[in-house]
Amino acid sequence: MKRTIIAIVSSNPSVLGRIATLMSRWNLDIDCLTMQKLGTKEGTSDISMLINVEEAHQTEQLVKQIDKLVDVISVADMT
Amino acid sequence: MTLTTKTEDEPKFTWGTGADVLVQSILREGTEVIFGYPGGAVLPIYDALYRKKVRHVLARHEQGAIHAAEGYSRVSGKPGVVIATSGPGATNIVTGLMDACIDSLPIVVFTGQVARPVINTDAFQEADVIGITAPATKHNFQVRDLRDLSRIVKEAFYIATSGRPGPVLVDLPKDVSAEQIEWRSEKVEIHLPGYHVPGPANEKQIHRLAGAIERARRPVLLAGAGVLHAKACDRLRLFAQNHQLPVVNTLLGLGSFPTSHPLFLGMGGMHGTYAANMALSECDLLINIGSRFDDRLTCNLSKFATEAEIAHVDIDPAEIGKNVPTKYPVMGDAGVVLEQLERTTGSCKERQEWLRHLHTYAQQHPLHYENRPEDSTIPPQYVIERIRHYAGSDAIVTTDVGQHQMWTAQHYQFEHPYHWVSSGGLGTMGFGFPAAIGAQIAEPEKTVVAIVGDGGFQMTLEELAVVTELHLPIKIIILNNNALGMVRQWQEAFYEKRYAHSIPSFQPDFVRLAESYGVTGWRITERDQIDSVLESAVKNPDPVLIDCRVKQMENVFPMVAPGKGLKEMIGV
Repeated sequence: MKRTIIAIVSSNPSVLGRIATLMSRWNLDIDCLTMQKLGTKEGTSDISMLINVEEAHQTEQLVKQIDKLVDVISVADMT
Repeated sequence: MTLTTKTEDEPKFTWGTGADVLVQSILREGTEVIFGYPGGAVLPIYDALYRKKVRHVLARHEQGAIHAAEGYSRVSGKPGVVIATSGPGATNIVTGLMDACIDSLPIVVFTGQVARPVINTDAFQEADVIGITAPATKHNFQVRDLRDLSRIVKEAFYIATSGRPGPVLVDLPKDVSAEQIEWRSEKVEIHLPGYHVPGPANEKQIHRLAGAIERARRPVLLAGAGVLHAKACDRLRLFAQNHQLPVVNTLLGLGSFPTSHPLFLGMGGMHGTYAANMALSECDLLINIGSRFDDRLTCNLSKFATEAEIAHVDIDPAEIGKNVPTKYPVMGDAGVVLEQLERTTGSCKERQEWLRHLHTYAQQHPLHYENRPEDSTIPPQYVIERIRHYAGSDAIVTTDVGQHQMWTAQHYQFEHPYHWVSSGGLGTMGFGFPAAIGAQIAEPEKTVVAIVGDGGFQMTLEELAVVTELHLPIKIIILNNNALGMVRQWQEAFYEKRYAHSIPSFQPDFVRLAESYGVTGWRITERDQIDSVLESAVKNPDPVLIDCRVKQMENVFPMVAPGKGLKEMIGV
């Protein structure tokens, strides 16, 4: 099933790599990914990912793992 | 130029190097000792350490340094601090980082990096340490601007020690640590908008769990290392006593509940006690406090606690529901939650029948092994019982990984918290001996016993030099079966006795090896030597290594075979 995950992160060069490492560990393909600096708050960016998971439970665990990253300010499954 | 120490009231501007700022910032966190190994990229840092006369333990390999820091941290509860150089220095600590990550130990590592202008040019001793260690740390930083350094150090210690503890790495390019700066010793504020430490647990969750505890007829408490991190052992004991809850420990939770306590059932899991595993299998409410339902504890998940409602108390929300569906999730620190539960839980159902039932299991199926005095070979379990006899419950015991680790967990009978140091999640051979160095540094007056195998000891034995150099009176006891025992056991059980590379044809003379490092070495080959040698070793104020020859083909039992459920133990 397709899920859309949206995260607000601290803008720094390693944050995307950290999230990508998690995706790799979970063996998840990213169908679509965008990242952009937020105009509203300096030092923060928005990452939006479309992923394909087998069951909803997976996304719940993945969101928790992404949320554990210190550079991630907030994250949610916005599907 | 050196930095003068700060005065609390008026900020002082002084000139120093980035390394001076680093050392000052590390000391500000209350660091008493640093475990490390110098190298090109950390020369400015070592120069600053030299000027400040900081206590530094020179390991003989970076892996030894980080395992020592882990042992120090496990025993003292304080963060272990490590310095390693760039490239190979940094890659040599990766095993320790992963070990600390999975076992939730607060470690702060500072690695040197090549200078900023040559990063990403494959410079001498360059490695992408941030990339390599990101999945093996709770967080990592690279310092690109010296003005950020003192804040980053403060953040590193805060992240490592708060919430679920873990390792944090700070990578410091050489030109940053060598750079001169006019530095103001003022209060440093941390800025971590994406990092939150849970406060008290949600009261609704507490009430739901308290109600479940009151109603349960066959409850069991599973206590993991989270109880130790939370310093909540007294609360755990009171809560278990007040509500008549039998207690099972995980491997790393040992010591959080006294083995001699009538409510204690032992360790659960693959090599746990029959009573503990049957309690987990037959309970109607399983209250997990501070353990992460590791597969060595649960064994086959589809057969795990099938009759139970699951409650899981954890400070890390990502652990709740990760492996086992959870009906009563409680997010919070084990100590705070136990206090909240104690306040909320009312009188419980009568549980004498359930406790008697479990007691019968414990009586009928205690841990056992074959120990015939007429046998020429020595059962390793017997040696552990004799070590316990002479070293006592007040000794700190570290182990490596393998059969000797399981036998120690089963037979040492831990009574006190923070006296048991072992590598659980990662199962790192080579951990036990350097961890004992850290443990002895944390507790210089205590007896520290490193129970190791002949395989794992050979992975980090170079640290014998540290033992002699610092005169650490560690008792190293090698349970020498001249085999990689756990591998051999699995080959015997599941690979039709094809002992592929698990019985080496050569091993060193451990006694002469010890002596070449200036450590007294003794050998036990006969049963009647055990008591006199162990007694002398424990009384000896010097470091001692004992090469104890034990039965090669001994197996760890009871056991749950791979794919089986906890109820399906063999060798009971």
